[in-house]
Amino acid sequence: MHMIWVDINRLESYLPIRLYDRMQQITGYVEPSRQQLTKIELLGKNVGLEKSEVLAALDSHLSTTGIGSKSRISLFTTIIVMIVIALVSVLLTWFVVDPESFPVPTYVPGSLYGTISPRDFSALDPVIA
Amino acid sequence: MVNELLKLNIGCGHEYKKGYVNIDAFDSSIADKKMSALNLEFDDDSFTQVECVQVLEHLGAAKSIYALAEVYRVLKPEGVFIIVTPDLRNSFKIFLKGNEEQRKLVMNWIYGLDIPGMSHKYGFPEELLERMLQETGFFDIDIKRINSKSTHPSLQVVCKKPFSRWHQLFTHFRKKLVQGDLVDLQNQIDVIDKETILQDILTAVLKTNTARQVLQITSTSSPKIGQVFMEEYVAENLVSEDYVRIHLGILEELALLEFPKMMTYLFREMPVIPGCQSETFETVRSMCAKSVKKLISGEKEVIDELRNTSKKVDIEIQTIIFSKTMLNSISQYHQALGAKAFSQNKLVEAMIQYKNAVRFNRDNTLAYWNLARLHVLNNLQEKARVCYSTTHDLVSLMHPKVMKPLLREIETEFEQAMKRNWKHIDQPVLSLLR
Repeated sequence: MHMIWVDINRLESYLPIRLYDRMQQITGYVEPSRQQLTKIELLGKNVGLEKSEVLAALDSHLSTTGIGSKSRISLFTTIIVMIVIALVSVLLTWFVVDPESFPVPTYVPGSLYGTISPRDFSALDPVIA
Repeated sequence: MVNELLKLNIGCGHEYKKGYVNIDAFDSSIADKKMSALNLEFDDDSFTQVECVQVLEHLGAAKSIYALAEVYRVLKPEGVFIIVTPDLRNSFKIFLKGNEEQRKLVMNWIYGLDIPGMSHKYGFPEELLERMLQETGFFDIDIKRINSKSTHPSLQVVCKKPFSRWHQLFTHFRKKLVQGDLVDLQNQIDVIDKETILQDILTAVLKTNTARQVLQITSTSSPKIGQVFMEEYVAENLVSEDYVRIHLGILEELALLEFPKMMTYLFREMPVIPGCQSETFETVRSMCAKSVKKLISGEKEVIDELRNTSKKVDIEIQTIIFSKTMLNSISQYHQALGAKAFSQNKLVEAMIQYKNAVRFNRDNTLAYWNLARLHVLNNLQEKARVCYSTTHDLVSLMHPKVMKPLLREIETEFEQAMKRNWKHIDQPVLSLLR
């Protein structure tokens, strides 16, 4: 689960906060609460750090910061819209073009470019004649 | 004597080699001089050839790193270094395939003899040997298997010393660390833990040759080691004192304030999030690295904060290093004390020790399990439930290979505990691999 979480963690900035929190719950991963963050900030003061510097130090490790919620939703919506457009394009192509002839086979047995078979010669006969 | 005889034979035992200076750490009856391979009493660049036949295995892994550095120091550039050591792969093959007599002989070959200086402490697979030699600075490393069919199969290594002022500096640096008791050669864990920092320093100076890099590496791991390196760096005229003054000053200040101890204190005080040992460690390191950056840029108030914090540090351990291994050792120590108190029915004391064990290692599954038992025995059912749940999660996370039976055991124990059946939980869990 931890390994899976490491991968999900990379998506943090790209997902809406609620969805990310839900994924956290499912994977059983825990991040510091507001109270714990306050304690870490106080500890940061002990080594001469400002609140923002403590949060920056936390960012890649015990992170709760990242892109703001509005920007996250716009980014997430853009990614989803692009995925939908790509899927629709593939499906449309599939329905518009005859699936039997797509992709067009070239080097198949019995064709002019594949293994020679009697059918190829019979097709050429009228031309020669 | 050294100028006439340009070859050195380390650990000669009863085999005196003609044309060599023969030394041995245990037996002076044959050797020219009784001398340890860890402290060769010769000047730099003294020998054209050094031989170390069936010696490294008597020193062990940690000491061998320092013995190789000593050989490097006394060898002339382009000088040849020859090692012969038991070949583990062929030894084990012979053990598996041989008859009883062969197995007996091969066992002595692997483990040595129970005579002072004759027992073997470690075996060196060829890849480890190659890496150790490379890290010391040797090149042209050629490893051959010899006597493969006999009951004494060996690896023979021939390599050379290049002209490298950095690697030579490093041998002096290692010597200083040993002389200053900053590395405990009797403690393999200590040596290996600090070796990571040493290798990081070496890689950094070989790549960038900047004092700033050394400061970045050592300030949050071991400022004292960084300080010794920087002093050696200046002493060997590889850099001017002015160039490293600021960096050296910061390292000296951090070493004086016992910065690793302060980091250990901060780590202990960080919120306990189960399963986040690594993340908490990196967070503390990252915070302290930011603090050091502010020191470099001359923010004086940071040093005042650090001085104030150093007065608050109430940790008893003496350490010059902040590392995961060190934190785990402290956690293990508290865990052992907890188990002792638990066994003696001193439940309050046991609870304190296990809580400390968790503070130094957020991944300590055994400490959480014992805390769960102690909470049950103290009638703190909700706390027990949380600890059992944490233990359950940590087993899945940290011990996937032994997960299934352990999870079943924890679930059964929790059910029984909630039914007030305390028959099997009035004693500590000592190991997950029972």
